[in-house]
Amino acid sequence: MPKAPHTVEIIVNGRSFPVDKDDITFEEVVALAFDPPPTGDNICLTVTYRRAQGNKSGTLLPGESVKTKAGMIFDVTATDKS
Amino acid sequence: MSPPPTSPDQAINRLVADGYGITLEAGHLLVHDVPFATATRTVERGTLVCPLDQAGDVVLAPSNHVMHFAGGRPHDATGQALTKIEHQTTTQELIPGVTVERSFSSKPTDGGSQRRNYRDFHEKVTTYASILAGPAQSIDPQVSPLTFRDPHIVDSVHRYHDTASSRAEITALNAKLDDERIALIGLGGTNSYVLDLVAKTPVAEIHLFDGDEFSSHNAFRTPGAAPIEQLRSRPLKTAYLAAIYDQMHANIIEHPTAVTADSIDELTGLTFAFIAIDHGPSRRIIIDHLLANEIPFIDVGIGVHHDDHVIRGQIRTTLATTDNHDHIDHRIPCQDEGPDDDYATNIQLAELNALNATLAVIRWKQHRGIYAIDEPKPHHSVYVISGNEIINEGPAQ
Repeated sequence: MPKAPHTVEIIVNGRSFPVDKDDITFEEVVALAFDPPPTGDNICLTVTYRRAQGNKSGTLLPGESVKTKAGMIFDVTATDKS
Repeated sequence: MSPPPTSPDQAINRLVADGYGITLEAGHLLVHDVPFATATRTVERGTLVCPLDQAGDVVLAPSNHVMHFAGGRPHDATGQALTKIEHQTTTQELIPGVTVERSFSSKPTDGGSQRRNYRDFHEKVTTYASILAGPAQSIDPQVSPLTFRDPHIVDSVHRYHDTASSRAEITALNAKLDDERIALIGLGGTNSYVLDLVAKTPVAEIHLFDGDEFSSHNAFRTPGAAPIEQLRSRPLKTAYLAAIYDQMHANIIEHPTAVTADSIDELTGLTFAFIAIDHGPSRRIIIDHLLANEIPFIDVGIGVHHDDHVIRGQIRTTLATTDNHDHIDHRIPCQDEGPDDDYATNIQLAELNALNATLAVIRWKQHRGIYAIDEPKPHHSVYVISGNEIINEGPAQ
């Protein structure tokens, strides 16, 4: 029997958000980081997560998703300055 | 009355005047054709090698008493090995083409039991040469280390020897880079720190590409401390930085324009590029040209924002090579404007530029086989400031 979804608090760019799904996608994380979300063909953002299931860290590409976990941390930026 | 003391700096000249066959190469002193006695009481010749201690081009007193040797195991006149001076038997290539197989350790005394350091390289070389050559001369009085061949000074791209590498015995390892012709595309904060690090390596050429002026705001994201007179004169970035690093590396070439479709051919023939520019669409042109010409590159970028009274952000380092570049479309920003351009000013801080540059240079040196790198080799890494964590991504297994 599938587990009922529960609400967890995740952090995106330092701000806390409640999420009641088991998975969250790249696009959903970006929408939490930027309101309104950026539009355009080649928008390329660097999305990372830490303290995921199994205390794992990683990156997300467009279309990818990761399992949500209470307290997991996302960072979303356009890393194009030098 | 004792003779006036000679300065340590004259040591090499005195060795040449005595007749020793000397080569100076890559921060090392080599003494050729030193005769020694073998176990079977024959005479052979070998080469003494040791790192030099220098201040610029001035030779200092030796910092240690160890001497390397290539050519065989020396003995005394009766065929006994010179165990009193034997130190280690490690075969290592100190300079490309110069492999030593052993080292000696002997400190001079002034007759008593009190040992001291060598006063200069003349004393260090003549002491070891006579320990080796003495037994050889008792077997064959004709032999001598004094061959009177001309001294040989090997050219380097650096204006003074890299004795940091010679002291650390990594000269031959670093020499893997001496065929590189590097492009620094963009000379903002990050690539000015990349230049600072790459100029200290023996790469053949360093090409600087940037059309902008060097202003006050740039000074706060560049290594060193720009003098106010320099800022007043409004130099181009290429000219300002080339003048500084030319003091150390003799082959820095200025291209005082941005890299565009018109100037893209200036990248042809280079062997590695560090891309550190702000303009997305230019990146696409540059990357396509580098891939078409099989030039590997590292692209870097910082993304930082300031809200809730604190700065947070990420620092990205992405490596692309001819056989591994499928990841770059999703990793390297090629758009016109990122969302941060609406939401925040262009925040960059010197330490973030420096960290991005350092990570990029380390990844380049890993790619060239100087630093170790574990499999699967990451081609993309992100430093997350608030987590103090580096997250790596590599090719799918």
